[in-house]
Amino acid sequence: MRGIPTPATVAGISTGVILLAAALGFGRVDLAVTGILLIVGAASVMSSRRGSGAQLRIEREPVRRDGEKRRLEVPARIGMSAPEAEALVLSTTAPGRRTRRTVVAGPITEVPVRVRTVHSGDQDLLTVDALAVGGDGAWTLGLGPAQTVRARIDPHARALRDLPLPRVPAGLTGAHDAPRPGDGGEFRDIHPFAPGDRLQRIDWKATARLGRRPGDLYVRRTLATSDIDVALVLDDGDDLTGVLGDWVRGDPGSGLPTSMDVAREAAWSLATAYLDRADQVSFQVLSRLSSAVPRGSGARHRERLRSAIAVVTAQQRMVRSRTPIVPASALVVLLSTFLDDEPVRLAGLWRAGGHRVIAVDVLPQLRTERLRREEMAASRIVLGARADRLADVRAMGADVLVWDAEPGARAAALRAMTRQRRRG
Amino acid sequence: MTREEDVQIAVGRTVPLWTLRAAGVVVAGASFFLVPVPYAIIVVVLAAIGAVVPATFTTWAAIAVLALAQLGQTLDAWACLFLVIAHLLHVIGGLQLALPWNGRLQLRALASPARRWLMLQVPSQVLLVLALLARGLPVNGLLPAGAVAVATAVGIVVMLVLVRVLAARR
Repeated sequence: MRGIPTPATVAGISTGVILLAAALGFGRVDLAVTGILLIVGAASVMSSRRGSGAQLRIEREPVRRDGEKRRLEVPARIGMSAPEAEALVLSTTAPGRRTRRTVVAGPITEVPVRVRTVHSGDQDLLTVDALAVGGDGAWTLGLGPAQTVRARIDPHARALRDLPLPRVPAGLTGAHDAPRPGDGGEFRDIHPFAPGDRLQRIDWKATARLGRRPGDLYVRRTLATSDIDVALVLDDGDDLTGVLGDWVRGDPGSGLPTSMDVAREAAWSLATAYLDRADQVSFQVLSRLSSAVPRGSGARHRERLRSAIAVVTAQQRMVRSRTPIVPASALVVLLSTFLDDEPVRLAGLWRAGGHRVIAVDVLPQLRTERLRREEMAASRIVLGARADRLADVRAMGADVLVWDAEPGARAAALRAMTRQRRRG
Repeated sequence: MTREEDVQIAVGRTVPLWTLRAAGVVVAGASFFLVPVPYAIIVVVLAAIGAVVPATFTTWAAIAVLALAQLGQTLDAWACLFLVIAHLLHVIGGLQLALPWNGRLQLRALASPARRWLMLQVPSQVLLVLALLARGLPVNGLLPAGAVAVATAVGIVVMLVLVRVLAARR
């Protein structure tokens, strides 16, 4: 494919011919030299190759994370080549943003690009198009169809020290203390020796202190350890930024994290933290219960959860949805914006079933600037109803955790939930 | 709410693309040194229209108007400036046609056009100066300066075309 000539060549040659004619008519050497110069200048940039074999390619490099921040940087290299092109017009378009054009020197060039994003999950990061331009704009050639840099960004896992546990850990072994006697846990009590007790467990000091008759033996009993079942249930009905005005206008490219980004981060952070403690974690989304990841633990399960959480996007919820099934005595973590009644209903069902429920509020921090009066009034109504729902959830006995808060506040809330369970 | 740029492109030193169009108008402004004010204003206006709407080709019209206005002037060393202006307007006009008006222009992208401009401009200036000097010689009556310039230039064109054709066949 060859470049298409622009009218610049014809214009240059035509002007040159006019000047030559005037030079011959009036005997002016300056016009003659100028006319010839224009003709030669226009003719010299026309080439038979004109960018044939032009190429545009993009190579994406590994994602870089900016410390503990949510912002990510995706480096890429845009390679362009167009034989005999003197300039290459690079057009880059980030989602929701205007196209930026940059003219770089040809004929072969490699441009390093860094795309910043605050979003996780599957996304189009950048659309790239290029145009080769011949000398003095004599011809132009599009470098093939526009190419898009796509990436699946894994959500960021925040370090969590304190984790809430269910009322009664039901597993057989794990990292948490179970209320029943067994091996591996903390000290439970001193108990008279009974058939089945191992001789190693005999506490000779306690026997000497407590024994009344010869043959009395006392054993030192410990608590059993247990893993727990954690059911992560993600409400994927909304995908909203914290800018209230965007809820009406639906601006997707505001460069701010959305509720789905917060939900993915919360789900993955909690899943990672529980898996690190060898607990059983399951994951399901409300709109697609068939895509649930059943309970499990270990490295392969961690990868399965990571990909399942990363691909979650906002979906229309079905009118008649089935209640997600969670393992018996599991800790249910419900991640939602609580902008409708369904999560409240589900929390009530699980509480009635005896589950401990953690309601994670994934709405990003709200920004109310530049709202019109009617938008302000509407937002007050919506946010008031949401506050009522969260109050209902608390009244049911569920704990509410605001995820998009200061890290210290989130850690303090988690610590309070952990102590609350110990007191109870 | 200010937004940080989401896409960072590392291409070194750049200038806004509109400066290329502004440069065309500035170059046309140099015509005030060559021709009377009414003609110079027309040249600048035509160059400005060409900068805003390149598809009108008024940049080349500005060259033609400047050349015709030159006819009313005596032939002297200022003709070298005319050669510079006309050539610059042609190059800038061509780039205006092909490049968008908004965006950034890598300064290195101007190196090739500048090099070619010099390669054509320097011999042309030499030719023009020789032709101007030849006017004072006794051979002036035998060989009109314009005819000499035209013959020489036609030779250059033939040579260039031959070079290009041979280069394309390689």
